[in-house]
Amino acid sequence: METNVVLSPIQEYAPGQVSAIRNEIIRALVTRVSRELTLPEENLVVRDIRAYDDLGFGNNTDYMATATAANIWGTFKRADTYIKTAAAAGYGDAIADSTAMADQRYVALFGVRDWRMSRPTTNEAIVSLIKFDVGAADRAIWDLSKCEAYKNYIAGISPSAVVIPPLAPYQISMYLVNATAEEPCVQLMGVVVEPVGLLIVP
Amino acid sequence: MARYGEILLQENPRRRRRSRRNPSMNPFPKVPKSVGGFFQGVKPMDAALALGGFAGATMLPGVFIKETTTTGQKFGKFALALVSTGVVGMAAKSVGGLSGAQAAVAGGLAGALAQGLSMMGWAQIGGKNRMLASGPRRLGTSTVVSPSMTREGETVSLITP
Repeated sequence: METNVVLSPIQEYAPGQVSAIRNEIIRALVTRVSRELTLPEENLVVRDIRAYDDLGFGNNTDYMATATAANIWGTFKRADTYIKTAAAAGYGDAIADSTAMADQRYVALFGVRDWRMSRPTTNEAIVSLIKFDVGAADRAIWDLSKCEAYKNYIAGISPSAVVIPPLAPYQISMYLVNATAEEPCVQLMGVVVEPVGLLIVP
Repeated sequence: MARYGEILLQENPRRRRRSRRNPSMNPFPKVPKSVGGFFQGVKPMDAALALGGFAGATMLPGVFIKETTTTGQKFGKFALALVSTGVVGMAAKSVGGLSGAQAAVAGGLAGALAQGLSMMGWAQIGGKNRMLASGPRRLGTSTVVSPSMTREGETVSLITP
């Protein structure tokens, strides 16, 4: 049974609290990865998420008009092939079906930004829920409704990070409230923990 | 120069305790006869074994059964206290003989009774320090994250398959 999480708006956190949550999540994940991969922590690297190469984000026409192999989080360019015209309100899968996480790679997601209000022309499309299916079961549903109260910066944080472990099949689905011609613009916040050398050698 | 007690011994070769000659030198307070009667004939070894029996019956069940939220757990803990009493009694027999074993069993039964009373909610033996933050609590499938005291001490959790 999934965990329903109403994301707390970033504006309602004390200064430094968001960074503290991020740091604690990183610390907890590094400890877990070190134990599961039997690698010392100094042999692990923590980095930002690449939307496509790490998550396969946007590679599903349920969410984006054109499946793309670029590391972008969503529709950011008006009148472009990335724009998705929502046919109906409901869940749109952002990841291609049957996608599994790469070996030895852990992704933790703990927040989201909806930057549609930052675009030159704002739109009405609202992503109200984000559902995480990891390991063939729904693990968490993030509710963004509280974040919508802060139109100048719609962003929320969850102290309960969703972790996608290596080789686990997963899907991230966005629930669009309006069936409009506008496009959703969400960016997931998180980190990747993996062994040194898998991608980068710091 | 001889001390006062030594002078007395020289003049009175028969052994007498200083406290009888000089009550002010008695280091122990006088025990009333009504109270002292309870301890007459009690060997220190038996007293120690009784204490051991009480401690064993009180503390040992908590090692195996940590939570007593269900009725089964409560009865199990009480039964374990009785078993601990028997085990301690058998061990005490080899140390202090039959009287030691009896003392240990008596102490153990007292501990088992205390254990039973504590599970009824009338008394508490051990338990969590509720003044401290207990960390994330799980209610069904939801995780309640405790409010943090400082910015450095954020409580987080990982949702994993």
